[in-house]
Amino acid sequence: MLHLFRHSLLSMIGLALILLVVFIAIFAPLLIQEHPSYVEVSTDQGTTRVEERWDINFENKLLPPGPEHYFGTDDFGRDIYSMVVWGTQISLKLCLMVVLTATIIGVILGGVAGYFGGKIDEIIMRVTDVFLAIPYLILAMAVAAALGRSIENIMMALIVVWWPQYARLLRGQVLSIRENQYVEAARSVGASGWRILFRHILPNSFSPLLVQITLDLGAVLLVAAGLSFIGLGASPGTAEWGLMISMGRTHMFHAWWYVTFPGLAILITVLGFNLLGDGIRDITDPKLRR
Amino acid sequence: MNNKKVGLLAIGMCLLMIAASFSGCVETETEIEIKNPDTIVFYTIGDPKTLDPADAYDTASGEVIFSIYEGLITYKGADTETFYPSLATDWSVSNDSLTWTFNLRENVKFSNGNDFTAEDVKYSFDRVLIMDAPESGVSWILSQCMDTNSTKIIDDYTIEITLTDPYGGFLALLGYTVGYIVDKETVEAHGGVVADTENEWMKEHAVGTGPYMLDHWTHKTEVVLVKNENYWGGWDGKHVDKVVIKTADEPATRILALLNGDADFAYIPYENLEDVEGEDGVIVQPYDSYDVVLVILNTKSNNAYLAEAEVRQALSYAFNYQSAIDDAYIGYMSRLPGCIPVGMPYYETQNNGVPVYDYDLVEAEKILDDAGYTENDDGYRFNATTFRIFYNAGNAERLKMSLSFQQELTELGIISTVTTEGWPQLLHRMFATSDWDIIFMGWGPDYNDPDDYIAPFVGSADIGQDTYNTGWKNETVDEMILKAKYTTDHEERSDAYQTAFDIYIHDPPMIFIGQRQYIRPMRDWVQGYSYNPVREWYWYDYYKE
Amino acid sequence: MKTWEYITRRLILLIPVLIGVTILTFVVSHVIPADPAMHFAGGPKAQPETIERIREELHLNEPVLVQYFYYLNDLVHFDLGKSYLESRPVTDSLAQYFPATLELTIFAMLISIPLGIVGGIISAIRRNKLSDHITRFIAIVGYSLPIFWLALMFQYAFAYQIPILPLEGRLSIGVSAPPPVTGLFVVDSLLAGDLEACGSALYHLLMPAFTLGFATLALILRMTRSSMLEVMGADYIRTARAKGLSERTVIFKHALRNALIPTVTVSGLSFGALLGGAVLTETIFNWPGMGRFAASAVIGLDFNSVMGFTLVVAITYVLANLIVDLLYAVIDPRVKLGGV
Repeated sequence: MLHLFRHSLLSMIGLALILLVVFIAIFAPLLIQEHPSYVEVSTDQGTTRVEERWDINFENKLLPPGPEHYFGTDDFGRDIYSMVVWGTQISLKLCLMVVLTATIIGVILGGVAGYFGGKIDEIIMRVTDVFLAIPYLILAMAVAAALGRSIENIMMALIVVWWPQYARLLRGQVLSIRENQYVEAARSVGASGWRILFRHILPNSFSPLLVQITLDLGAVLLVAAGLSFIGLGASPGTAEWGLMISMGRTHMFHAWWYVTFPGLAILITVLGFNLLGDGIRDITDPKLRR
Repeated sequence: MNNKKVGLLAIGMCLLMIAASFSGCVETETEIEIKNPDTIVFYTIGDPKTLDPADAYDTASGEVIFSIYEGLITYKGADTETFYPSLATDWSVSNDSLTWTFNLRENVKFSNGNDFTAEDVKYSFDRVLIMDAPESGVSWILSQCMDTNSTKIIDDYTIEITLTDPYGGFLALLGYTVGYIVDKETVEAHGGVVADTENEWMKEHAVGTGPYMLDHWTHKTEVVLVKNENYWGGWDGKHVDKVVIKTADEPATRILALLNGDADFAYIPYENLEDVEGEDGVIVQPYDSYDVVLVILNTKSNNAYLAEAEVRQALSYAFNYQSAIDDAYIGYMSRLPGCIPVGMPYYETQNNGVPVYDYDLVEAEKILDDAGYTENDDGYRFNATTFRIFYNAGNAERLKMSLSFQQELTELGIISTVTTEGWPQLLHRMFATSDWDIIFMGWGPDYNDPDDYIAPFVGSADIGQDTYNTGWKNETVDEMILKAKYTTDHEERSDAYQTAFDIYIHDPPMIFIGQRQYIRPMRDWVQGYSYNPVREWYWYDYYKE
Repeated sequence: MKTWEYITRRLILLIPVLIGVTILTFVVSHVIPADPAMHFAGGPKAQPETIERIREELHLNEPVLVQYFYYLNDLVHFDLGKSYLESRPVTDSLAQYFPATLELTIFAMLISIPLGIVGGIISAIRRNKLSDHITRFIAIVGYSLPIFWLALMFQYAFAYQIPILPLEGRLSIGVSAPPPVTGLFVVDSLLAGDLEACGSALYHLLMPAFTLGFATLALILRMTRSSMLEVMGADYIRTARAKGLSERTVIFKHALRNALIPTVTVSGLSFGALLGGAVLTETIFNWPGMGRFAASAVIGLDFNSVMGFTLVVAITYVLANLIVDLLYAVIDPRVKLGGV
C-alpha cells in the first residue's frame, strides 16, 4: 500500500508529520528540558488519580525563546518547550481514545441498525438524529460543564458528541453492502446475522471508516482545544495544548511565543492527520484512481 | 520536478503562517487624533442586569443608572465623605435622629418633560419597599430603617422621612441607586407597582432627572446614553453629548480598542496592564479600593484536620503573600492584616496594621511538627490526605495564587488538588456539601463601615453571619461584633474590634491576603475623571480635549 | 410523493427529534450538583429570600422529572421561561441573538461556498498540477487550524498592525442600528434605505464571516474537487467529449451539475457546524450572537437559556437539512423525494 502514497506528495508529508508526532510522543521523556513530577491525589468519589505537576518559578516568567528555553517560558515560569513536547502524549492519547471509543459505539449501533433494520433501526437512528441536531461544540460544552474540568472529562464529552456520525456512516455502508451478492451467498448458507455483520460487512466498510477516523483524529483535537479555550477544558496546570493557548492568549501582545508554539503543535498534528486522511481517501477510492 | 516545487511552496506557506503569528513583536508608532470628540466610549466586561434602580445591585447597572436617575443627595468628584444637594436642596434631622426633613429642588423636569415633585419621592421609596427587589434583594438597604409609612409628603417640595430605627448611614443610602427617584407617571403608565414582582418595562427603559437619558440598550453589546436637554444642572461647561458603554468579553478586544483610540476607557485585567502601560496616549492609574482578597478555610470540612487551629495557622504561614502581590496582582495590591481594609475606621485595631502572618515555611513546618502532624515515610503529612483547593473559573489572579499555593503546600508535605468550577457548582459545593477545604474568594463593600467586613467574615451563623460557610464560631467574637455594631462610642467600638482580632487571628478561619487596587486605563485626552468608589463613572463630569 | 406531502411528513418527524433534544439537554444540564439560584441571586451575599424565590420560580425544589414536565408544559404554551443571567424572557434574548448569528452564518456561507466551488473546480481541472497542490494545501491548512487561533491572528493583523478592518462588533460607533424588521442589519438597513448602516454592517461582517467560513471553504473545495474528478471519469462525460464538445461546455454544462450534489449536502451539514463554530468566532469578534449567549449560559447554568438555544439551533439545523434534500430534487431530477 505504501507505494501508492508515493504518487501523492501531500499524503507523504502527512505521513511524515504523523510519524514525527508519534516519535515525539514516545520519546517525550528523553526530549524535554524540565520534567513534571507526579502526585497521587484522592477525588470526591474516594478514588485516587495521579496528577502531573510542573514546577512554578515566577522569577523565570515569560522569558523569550533562547538556548535555555527553546520556546520560552509561560507566565508561571514553566518551560513551554517541555510542556508542548509533553502535551504530544496527552493530545494523542486524547484523540485516539475519543475516536476509537466513538468508532466502537458507532460501529455497533450503526451496524445493528443497518443490518437488522425495522424498529431497532428506527430507534437508533432517531436517537442519533437528536445528538446530531445539537451543534457538537455546544453539546460538548454542556457535558463538559456537567462533568467538571479534566482531560478524562473532555474525552467523555467528546465521545458523547462523536459516536453518532459513526453510527450514521456505518449504517449507510451496511445498507449498501447488505444487498451485495456475497452477503446473499453467506446468508443462504445459513451464516448468523452477527457473523455476516462482523465477517463480511465490517471488513468491507473498512476504508471509508479509516478515512473518517484519520480525519477525525485531527478534528477531535481542534474541538478539545476549543473547549479549553472557552474555559471548559483540562484542569489548570496540565500540559494540554488547548489550555496553553487559552492561557497564553491574554499574553499574546507581550509574549507571542506562549500562544504560538502550542498553536503550531496543534496545526502540525491536525494537518498531519488531515493530509494522511485525504491521501488514504484518494488511494482507497477506486473511482478517483484513473 | 514539479513535486519538489510544490514542496518548497508548501514550506513557504507554512513559514508565512508562522511569520504572521510572529508579527506580534513588531511595534508600530502612530499618533492618533481624538476619535469621536463628543462621545465617551468605555469598553468593559459584563452587561447591566437591569436599569430599574429599585432592583439594581451590580456595578454594571450602577454605571448607567447613576447618570440617568438622581437621588436626593449626591457626591462630587472623588469625595466619598461629603453629601452634596441633588434633588434635595437642604435637609435637617430631629434630635432623636429619627425624623429627616428634605426641601426639594424646584423646576426640575424628568427627561420626558414631567415635573419632579414630592409625590415622586414618596412613590420611589415606597416602590422599592413594596416591590422588594425580587431579582437582587437590594431592597434590604432601605428596609433596614424604613417602611411604607416612613415617607410623608408635607407639600409639593418638602418631604419628611421618619426612620423605624436610628441609622447613622441613612444619607449614604440615599446616595445609592436604590434610593434614586423615578417618575411616578411613567411607572404607573407601564405596569405600576406590584408587590414582590419585577417591572419588566422599567428593566429595559429609563426616565429620570439625570444628565443623560437612555438612547438604547442592546444586551451584551452596548448601552448608549445621550444628553438630556431638560437637565436642571444645564449644559454649560464641558461635557460630552453621548456615552457608549460597550461589552467586550475578550481582553484582546479591549486592549486593541484602547490602543487604537476607539475606547476612551477600557477594563484591562492585571496581567495585561503591561500591554497598555507606557503606550502613547494611554494613562494607567491605580486607585485604592476596598476589595479584599481572601482564602477561605473550611473548619467543618470532611477533612477534619482543618478543624484544628494549628493547621490553619500553618497554612497562613505557607502562603506566599509577596508572590501573590507581585505575580498575581502585578504589584497592585497591599497586605491585609485582618478583616478590615486600610482606609476604613478601626483598621489600626488589627495589630496596628502589621500582618501577624508572613510567608515562612520553616515556621509552618514547626507548627505542624509540634502539633504532631509529622511527615510519613513518603514525605506526606496528614496520612497523605488531599487538601482540595478551588477557585471560580476564569479568574486569572486566583489561578496564579492557587497553583503557587499548591506548590508551597507540596513543599510542606501536604497533598493538594486545584480545581476550577463555575459559580453555580462552586456555590453548591460551598453551601451544600463539606467537600471543600480551601477556596479563593474576594469581597467588596456594600457600605463604608468595618461591620460590613468583620461580621460576615468571622461572625458565626448564630448571629446570622458566616457568609462563607466556614463553620467557624467563637462566642466572644460574636459578642464583640454585636457590641461594636450597636455602639456609637468610638473607644468602646475600638476595644471590641481589638478583642475580636486577637482571638480570630490566632484561630484564623481564612487567610487574609490583601487589598487590591483598581486600575482605570484611559486615553490621555479624557479630562475630568476622578475615581469615586461610592459612585463611579459619572459621565457628566468627563470630556475630551 | 408530492413535494408538500413530503415536507409535511418531514416536519412531523421533527417533533420527536425536538422532544429528544429537550430531554437530552435537560438531563445534561440538570445532573450537575449546582446552585444556580444562589448564583443568579448574587452569590454568597445573596438574600436568602431572593434565593428561595428563584428556586420556587425554577421549581428547583422539585424532583427533576417534575421540573421537566413544568418545562414541557411551558414549552407547549410557547413560553421558554426566563433567562436569569440576562434577567429577561429567553424569547427576547433569542430574538436579539439569533438574527445576529444567522447573518454571520449566512455571510460565512456566501463567502465560503462560491470560493470553495471555484477552487474545487480549478483544482479538479488542473489535477496534480501546481495550482491543484497549492489550493489543496491551503484548503487542508484551513481546516487544520484552531478557529480561535486564526481569529486572534486576523484580528491582530488587520485591526491593529494594518488597521484596515474593524476590530469587533456589528456597526461602527456612531452608526445606529436600522429599525428591526428581520434583525439582519444588512437587510434591515437596505429596507430603511440607510446605506451608511448597510456599509458599516458589511464592513464589520467581513473578517468574522471569513474566519468562520474558512474551514467550510476548505471542506467544500475538497468535496467539489473529488466529486468533479469522479464525474469527469464517468461515461457520459467521455461521450460528451467524444462528441467534440468544448472542454468548457463539458465541464460547466455536464460535469458541474452532477458534481454539485455532494457539495450541496456538505453545505447543508456545515450550516450546523457553523452555528456551533460561531461560539468561538463570536467570542473573539465580540459578535452579539447566540454562540456567546449559549457559552455564558452553559457556564452559568442558566437552564432556560441553554434549552432555548439548543431548541432553536436544532430546528434551524433540521430545516437546513430539509432544504438540502429539496435542493437535491432541483439539481438532479432523477432524485425522488421520499424514504426518510
